[in-house]
Amino acid sequence: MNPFTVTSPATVAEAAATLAKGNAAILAGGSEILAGLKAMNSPATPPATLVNLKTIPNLSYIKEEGGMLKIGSLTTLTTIAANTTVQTKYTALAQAAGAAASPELRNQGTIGGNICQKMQCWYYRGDDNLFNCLRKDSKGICYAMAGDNRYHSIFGGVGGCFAVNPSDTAAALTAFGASIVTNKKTWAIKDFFAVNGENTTALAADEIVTEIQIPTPATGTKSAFTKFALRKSFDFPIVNCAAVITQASGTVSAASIALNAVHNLPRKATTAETSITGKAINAANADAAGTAAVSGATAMPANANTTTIGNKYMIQIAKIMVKRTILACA
Amino acid sequence: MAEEKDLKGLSRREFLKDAGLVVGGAAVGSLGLAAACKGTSTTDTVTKTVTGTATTSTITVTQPPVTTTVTNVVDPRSVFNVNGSVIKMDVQPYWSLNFVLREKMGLTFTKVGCDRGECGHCTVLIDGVPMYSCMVLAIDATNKKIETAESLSPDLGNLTGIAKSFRDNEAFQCGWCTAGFMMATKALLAATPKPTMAQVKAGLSGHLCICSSIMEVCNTVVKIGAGG
Repeated sequence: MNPFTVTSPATVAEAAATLAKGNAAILAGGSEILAGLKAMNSPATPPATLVNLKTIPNLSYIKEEGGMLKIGSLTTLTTIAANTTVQTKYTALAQAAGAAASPELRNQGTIGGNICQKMQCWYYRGDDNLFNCLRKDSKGICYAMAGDNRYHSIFGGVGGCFAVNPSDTAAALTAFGASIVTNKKTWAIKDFFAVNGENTTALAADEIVTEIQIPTPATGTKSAFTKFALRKSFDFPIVNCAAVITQASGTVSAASIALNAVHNLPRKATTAETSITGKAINAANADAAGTAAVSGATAMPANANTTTIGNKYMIQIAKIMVKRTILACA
Repeated sequence: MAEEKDLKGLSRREFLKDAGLVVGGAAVGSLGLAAACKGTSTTDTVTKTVTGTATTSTITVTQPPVTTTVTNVVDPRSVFNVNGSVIKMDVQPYWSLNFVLREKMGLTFTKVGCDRGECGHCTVLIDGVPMYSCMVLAIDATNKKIETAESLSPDLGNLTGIAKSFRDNEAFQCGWCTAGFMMATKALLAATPKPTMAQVKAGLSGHLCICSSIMEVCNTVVKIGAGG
């Protein structure tokens, strides 16, 4: 690990000013940045300064006001998963926060950090990579296209990159239509994520997430989150899915379904939403919605291989995750 | 069943018991920091100054446990409260808590496994909350109550509590993961005194045992909760 200094800002503005000078990165929970710095694989150029947001007061809270749930960006995933308001009215977010990483990492990991985490693609993260991928070096190429792409995008690439967004809470926040407040502006969640150099968000270098806002769901709304990972105890998702479904007189009146870890950006499954709306939640309709969700999917060679891994396994898992998530909202 | 004695007269069971002691507590503070083990040498109330072997930094250990606010400290970053003892130490901003505990304070019960937040071997309690010490910067752990596995059983010749249960139930093989498991167990039992097997599996899910003793660990924790 390259040595670095740590600043202790008292305000968000002070932290942003340090970041604006360049060669600096944010330290919030720390598990993402420190793992990358220790392995010396993320970011490509190790920062000389870490800006410790934990010294800024009042960035950790959960409160309902003005028709929305407001969560401070430094609120830990453990706190969110254990909050009774989040559990009852924003169930998918509580489940997603409780499914990310391990208990110890959830104790230190923050919601702001979870949605800003970088991709886990092994051509980006691999300790022994000889060449930088195109996310680290604009002259590079995406080695996943010709290499081992069993965990890569099934909905095509963005800007030539096929790495997936690994965040669990991003799926829930996308399904809820959340807004992300920074020191510069308020982002709609659909504009927040981007392929932006090494970053998975559209944030500027001196932009800091301060609050997550989720509009309070309508009466009769239920939400759920499901995740498929190779290790059930503690792993990044192969596919995860969150659904927020409002029912009236036995049928779905509004549905918002998001898939993540299947594309560079969290993906709103609009075809699945259209498919289930106006119908009752049952196995047949949920299965049809799952099929609709993956209707535009294109498996990459390694996750389409029929002999070693299974026939388009990731597309099948995505379909089943959508089905199970919808059924969990019944 | 009669225990088979080998030529040296050491039965397998006795060997395992001894091995358990090693797991519970090999290498008591190589810098003479056994005093940082809560309750050890409680008659020793003087301030000890030990010069570390690895660096020239000076370590000051004060006993008994200090609960009052520490005064005359220029840099508040440098005050650690480990197992009830206040330790003043200059640390680099990029040092992990794990590195400081093991390499600077000599508290080597806390192990280092993957050093990238994946195995749980380095788990310590910070203000009662289990965290991977490899993923926490030392400066972020200052002025907080840090508990390491040294605090679990002060008298290594006579293990008590969680450490004794782990040894008696042979919830380990090589022992490298044991300190992390025991600290997570302490936090789990504090929150859930009588955990079910499902709660134990969830609570300890951030830990790996490469010797495959995970079921023994889970059974042991359930047994502790049930009063065994």
